[in-house]
Amino acid sequence: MRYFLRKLLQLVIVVFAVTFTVSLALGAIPYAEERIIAAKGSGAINEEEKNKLLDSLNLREPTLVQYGYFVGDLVTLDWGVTLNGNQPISTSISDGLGISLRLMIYGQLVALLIAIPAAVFAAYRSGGLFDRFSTTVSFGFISTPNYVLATILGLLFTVRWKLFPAISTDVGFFEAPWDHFRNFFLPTIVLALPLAGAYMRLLRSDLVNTLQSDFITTARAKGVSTPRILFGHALRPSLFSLVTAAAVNVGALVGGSVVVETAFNLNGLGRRTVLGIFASEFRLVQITVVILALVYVITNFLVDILYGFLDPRVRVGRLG
Amino acid sequence: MSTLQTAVRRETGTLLEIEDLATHFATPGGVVRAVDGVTFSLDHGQRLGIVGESGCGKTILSRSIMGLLPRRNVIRKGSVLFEGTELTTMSLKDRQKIWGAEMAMIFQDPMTSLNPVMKIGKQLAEPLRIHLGSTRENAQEIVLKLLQDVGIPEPEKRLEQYAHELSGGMRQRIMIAMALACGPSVLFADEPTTALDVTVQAQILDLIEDQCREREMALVLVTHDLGVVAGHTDQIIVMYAGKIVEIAPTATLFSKMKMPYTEALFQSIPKLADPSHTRLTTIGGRPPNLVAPPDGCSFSPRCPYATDTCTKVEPELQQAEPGHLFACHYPVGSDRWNEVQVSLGRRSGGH
Ligand SMILES: Nc1ncnc2c1ncn2[C@@H]1O[C@H](COP(=O)(O)OP(=O)(O)O)[C@@H](O)[C@H]1O
Ligand SMILES: [Mg+2]
Repeated sequence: MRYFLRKLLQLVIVVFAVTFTVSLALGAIPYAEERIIAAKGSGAINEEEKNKLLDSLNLREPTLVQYGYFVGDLVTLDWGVTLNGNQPISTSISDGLGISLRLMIYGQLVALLIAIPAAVFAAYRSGGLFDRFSTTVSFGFISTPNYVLATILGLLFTVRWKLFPAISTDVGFFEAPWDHFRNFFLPTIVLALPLAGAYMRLLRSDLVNTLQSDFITTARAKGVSTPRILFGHALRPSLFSLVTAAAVNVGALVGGSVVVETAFNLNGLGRRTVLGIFASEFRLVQITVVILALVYVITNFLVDILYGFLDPRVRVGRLG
Repeated sequence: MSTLQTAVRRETGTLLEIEDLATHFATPGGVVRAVDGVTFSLDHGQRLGIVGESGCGKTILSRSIMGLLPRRNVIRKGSVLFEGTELTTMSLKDRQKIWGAEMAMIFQDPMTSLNPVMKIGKQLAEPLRIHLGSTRENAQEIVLKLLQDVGIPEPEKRLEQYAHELSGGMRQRIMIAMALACGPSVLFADEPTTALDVTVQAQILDLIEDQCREREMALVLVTHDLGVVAGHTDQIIVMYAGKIVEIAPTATLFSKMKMPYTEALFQSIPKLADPSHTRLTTIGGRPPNLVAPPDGCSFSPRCPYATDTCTKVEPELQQAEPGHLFACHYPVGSDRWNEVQVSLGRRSGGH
């Protein structure tokens, strides 16, 4: 319980630090006001509208007041509209987040489904044929840039075999499961393969170490079957690095899948953010950054809880 | 096949017959001859000690007998008959049916021998569930009884604990309980007390001995300490450089030891009668490199009695009396031995 509370406190501190920095960042952007006006189209609005717009951003208030307004707007979901097109920022972000979260979850699941069995088998026969083969393949995937993989798979699956649409559209899973699958299949694979390679390497090496532990010999001497040794005894204490890496990737994938989102024309959060930066949509970018920070922080919190589950010694603070 | 029943009807006669057993490791530095042609047998309910310095191949010998060795880079020879069944050619699946059920093993370091992330209760129940197909409730009942047998206070509480919440002695008791669970006919204990406090060591050894007696279970007690096996075994094997150099009933070994290596081990046991400042005799030098053991007797480079013969001709195991074998050209009591004793000033001339 103490462990839980300590982690919760850390979470609160991080959230404060991020919102504070993000709130001030706007003031640090050179010519922020001029850029915002320009993005709006300086000729299109009169002086009064200009002032109203700038007032709503609280740019001229003292720092702490600015922060107060920013947090107030954040929690009341009063996020305003985009400069270009007057679309509610909340709609834009929730649409983007929906796509990015799904991509992230699919990508992670596929990566783990490939990596875990492969790592277990490679570690079980470490140095064997499968181990060497899977090592080569993982390094191949790890070192292939996203856009190369996206291009190759895109060419094969959409142009050559015409199995999947070249341009993905965001079709809900429940409305049209088959279309949903077709649309998300390729981007998921492009995200998942390099992840699977990295996860497999991490888990394999931890497993090889665990399998040399005395308690594994104990389990063997009890007559525990090989699959139970691998999955029942060795896997759980070997999951630390994998869980840590997967957790870091949650945030990285939600906000940083720009290449894949662009390659398959999915309007995810990453892509919207990058476009937002070019279009001086500072408000949108600010809020996106806060949301991504929340994703990171919440994931980390959950992972800390998960560590405690993976190894009871963590809970009493004997490790880490 | 119910192992609980075999726990009641114990046979007599030979349990294990080991014939010319060898285990070598192919390493980049050469072939390590960890166990090199070992022959002996073990009767039902018999308690055997295997002694020798660190690195003499005791652990590998006991694991070779169980068949509990890594598969890779291992060269194996010889035969292990367990109740008449050849183990060395048995499939892994069949050996897994014997491990934990018919043969059990406990290890040196109770700190690392238990799974750190699995509750004690679950680990204890595992052999029962695997080998006897016990239900959860049934297994729990047996486990609680076992914990009482091995002298663990508050057994119910232990089931929910993890290894790190228990002391070293307590963990070794848990290991023993786990090994006893299915009523094996032989227990291998590999340095079971080496990692424990001196005060706990005697308790654990007594516990092992009591349980063996009660369950009519054979024991193979592996240790580097001749003092440990003295009071807890019927027969002792002295190993050196992967080979048996002396084997005898315990009392005989202590009263009529033949092998100078045994003598040296014996002299390195601290004795209660010694004044507290007495210097312990340690054996000079180190055990030989098992990749390229010396010619002749492997102990010859460290042996005060060694002659040219010893460095050239490897001594065969010979019989001193029925049941007592040794491998030495100039055993304790021989003329050469007396001569050296005199020259070392340990003994006056004559017999
Ligand atoms: N997997 C292995 N590969 C190579 N050599 C090994 C391996 N395991 C043990 N050995 C060697 O075999 C010898 C006997 O080891 P061991 O049986 O553990 O000795 P003891 O238990 O008597 O201290 C040692 O010299 C050790 O270095
Ligand atoms: Mg050993």
